[in-house]
Amino acid sequence: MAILGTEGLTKNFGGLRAVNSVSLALEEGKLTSIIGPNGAGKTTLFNLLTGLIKPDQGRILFKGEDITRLRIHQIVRKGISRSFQILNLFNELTLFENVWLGVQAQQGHGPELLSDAEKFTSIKEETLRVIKETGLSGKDDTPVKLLSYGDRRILEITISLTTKPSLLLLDEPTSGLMSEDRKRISEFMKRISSQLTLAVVEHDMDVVMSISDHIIVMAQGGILAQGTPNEIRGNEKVQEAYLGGQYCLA
Amino acid sequence: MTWVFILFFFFPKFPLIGRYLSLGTEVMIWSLFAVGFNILLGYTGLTSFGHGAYFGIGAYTAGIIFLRVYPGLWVPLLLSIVGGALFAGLVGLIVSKKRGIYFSLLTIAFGQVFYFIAFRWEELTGGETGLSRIDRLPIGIPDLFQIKLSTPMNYYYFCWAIFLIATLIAWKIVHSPFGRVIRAIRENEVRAAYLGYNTYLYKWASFTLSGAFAGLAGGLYTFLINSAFATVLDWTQSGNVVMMNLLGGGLVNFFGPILGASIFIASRDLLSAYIGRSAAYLHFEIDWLFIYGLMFVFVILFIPSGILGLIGRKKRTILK
Amino acid sequence: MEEFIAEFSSFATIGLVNGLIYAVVALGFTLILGVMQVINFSHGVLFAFGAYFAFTLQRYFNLPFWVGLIVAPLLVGIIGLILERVAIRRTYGGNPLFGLLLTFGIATALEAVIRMVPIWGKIGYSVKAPEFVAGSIELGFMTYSKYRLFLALLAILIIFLTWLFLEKTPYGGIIKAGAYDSEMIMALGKNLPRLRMLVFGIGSILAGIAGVIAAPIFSVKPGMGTDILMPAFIIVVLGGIGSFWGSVIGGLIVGMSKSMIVMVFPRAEDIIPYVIMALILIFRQRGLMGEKSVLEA
Repeated sequence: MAILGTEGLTKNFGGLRAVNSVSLALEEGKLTSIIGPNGAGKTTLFNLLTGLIKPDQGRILFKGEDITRLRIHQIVRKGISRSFQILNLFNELTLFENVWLGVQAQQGHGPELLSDAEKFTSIKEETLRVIKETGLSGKDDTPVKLLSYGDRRILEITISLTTKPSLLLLDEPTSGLMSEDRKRISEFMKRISSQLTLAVVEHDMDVVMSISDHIIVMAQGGILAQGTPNEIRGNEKVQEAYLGGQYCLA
Repeated sequence: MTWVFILFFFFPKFPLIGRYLSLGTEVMIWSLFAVGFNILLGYTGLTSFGHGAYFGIGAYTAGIIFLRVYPGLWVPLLLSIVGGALFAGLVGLIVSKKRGIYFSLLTIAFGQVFYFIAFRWEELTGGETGLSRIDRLPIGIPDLFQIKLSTPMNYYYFCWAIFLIATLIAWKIVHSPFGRVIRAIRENEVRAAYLGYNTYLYKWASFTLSGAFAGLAGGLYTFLINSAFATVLDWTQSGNVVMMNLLGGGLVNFFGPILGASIFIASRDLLSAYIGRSAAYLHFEIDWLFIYGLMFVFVILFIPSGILGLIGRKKRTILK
Repeated sequence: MEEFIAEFSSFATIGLVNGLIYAVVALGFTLILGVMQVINFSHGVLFAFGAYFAFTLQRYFNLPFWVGLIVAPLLVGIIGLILERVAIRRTYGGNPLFGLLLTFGIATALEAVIRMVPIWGKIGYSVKAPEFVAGSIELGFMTYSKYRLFLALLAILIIFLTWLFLEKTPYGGIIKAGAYDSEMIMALGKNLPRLRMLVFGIGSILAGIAGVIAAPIFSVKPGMGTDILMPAFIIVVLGGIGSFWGSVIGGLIVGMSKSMIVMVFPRAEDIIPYVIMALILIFRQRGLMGEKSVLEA
């Protein structure tokens, strides 16, 4: 069952066709990796799916509902969440405050105007629980800008999980990380993939091959190929697209 | 927090300066305005350059209601809050969608429109001459007890009470979950949206709330000077409140605006006195606005986090 | 009917001429805004300085008008360069509101300076039009002020020269490009600080020269800078930030709308430009000819 589907999704920037009539489906409960050379349109795709930008043509369906025209927060409320390729956190706030904001939103307490935020123990407890789960305890009061890059990457994913999504889009979650941290995140993704549907943009082929149920290959705004890891491994078109690049599919 | 109000409470007893009751009242009124405005500027990170308009609308609402509808105190004052909030709410619907410079430019534009309407709609606002003879009627329950507000001392304490309550409300707002959300919007609006917050709505609410404070301040001001003029809607007044917030350190501290308003009003009056005296020595009279402009430049260039920002640890400005 | 046409065209001409002046002012403003992302509040007071210098040269030095026309803008340009060097350049690259607030302070201080200068002071003055265009001429059945026609020609000339500069000279080309993307300029390896100085200088000169030619028809008073600033804002927003033609067309629209509305509903004169701006923004978010710029971040 497809939890998310797109029909002919297209986006132009001036003369450039960033996403070219993309029709795809994300299977519920599966982990789909989206790979492709830089400029293939992967991040733009994520931007379209989450409402940051609006498509010029095409539709997006989530759990059967047309979400094409919805705004970001509405899409998030429906159950899609997303992490960013370039870290997008509240840098001046502490780790605790970052997670708190997500939990507060999810519990629906945002509009409270006159009650003291500190008094909301339900938010506090959930925040501490989330922090514990990600292994970042002890750094609660550190401003995010002072955290290590690896920790911030984990926070980037964590904070997008606070909305309790059924579909999580991760945009290059291991970007810039050393192999140890990559493994950490890779295992984290495997772990959470049992609870929700994941779509991951990745460049690290080891990670991709080890965690994916399904792979979509994008190039120049369109889908070049898709299939299981083995199918993609053997696909000549895909090998060509990466010719001379840093990707070894053998 | 409480010592600020204790300070203001005992102000009339201070030697030398305690006599200047209307100055003290004015400081509290502008502080109220500035604290409310800081919800938008400091906490949400939106620089409106047209909030003088809502101050003015509050001022005129109080005056017009008093003169034409219901000569009282509470009714005009309450309606001044409504007036400020209503028009800020209307403008907020439009500007909350905008970012950065466009936001500021549009707030200026709307502010100017209101200014010109106040100036030209003579039948309603008295045009250039404005409205006058707006008296401060006694409050209380008739036949039971009454407090005459017509004396400067009584009105000072009346304003003190309102200032206290209003600031308390602002404090609560800022420390509530809502307050956290607007801070999140200031830090990273996109991420806030991705957490599920309807950022447009929160920005609108912040705008409207600050408009309500502005309206209240305007109403209190009308009763202070017993009249209402269009000049309060001018963009320079809008610049004043921005200046007060920056100067005092509103960007990093809740009380910054109060400090800024106090310094601003006090120096305005002090300097005017000195200017008057120095004119005898120099061959020309120094214009207060010259000093004001230089002050502005100085603050922006050298102490953008404001005075409380210099003292405190946190340094944050809208400049990043 | 004839009377109506006569009245109408009289208002129309005034509107056009005013519009041309606004266009020149807006042009300077939009260049600075586009290239440096600085909302230059002090642009208005530079316009005022142009008028005041012209007035002083005429009244106190008894120099002919055309001397003022050349000298005054240059003086204003120098003031502009000083401002840029001393204060404005600290705001580049930061939040544009920084520049707005800074120039707001500068504008306030400078306008106060005008009021403080003994021979200028707080009252208004009138500047006489040059001899050879004083009075009016008859064209067909209408009477036109000769000076207004002369002014219109001058304004058109200035706009044309600016266009020439932007289109035909290498520096102009860079500025045109830079109005949208300052990073591109750096990539081209040109001297960015010097370019910015140049732009600010040109912008200031445009403001000054507009002040000189406007002096005979606007009254020369301290507030004239503030009075012209709002229209300049509006024009730039409705015409599109950084756009040459946007400023020109926008200037004409604002000038015309103000004078036309006086015929019908004079009290709305100040407001009508805002209404038009609002209408335009509703249909074209970036103004008539605007493009996406850094300012939208």
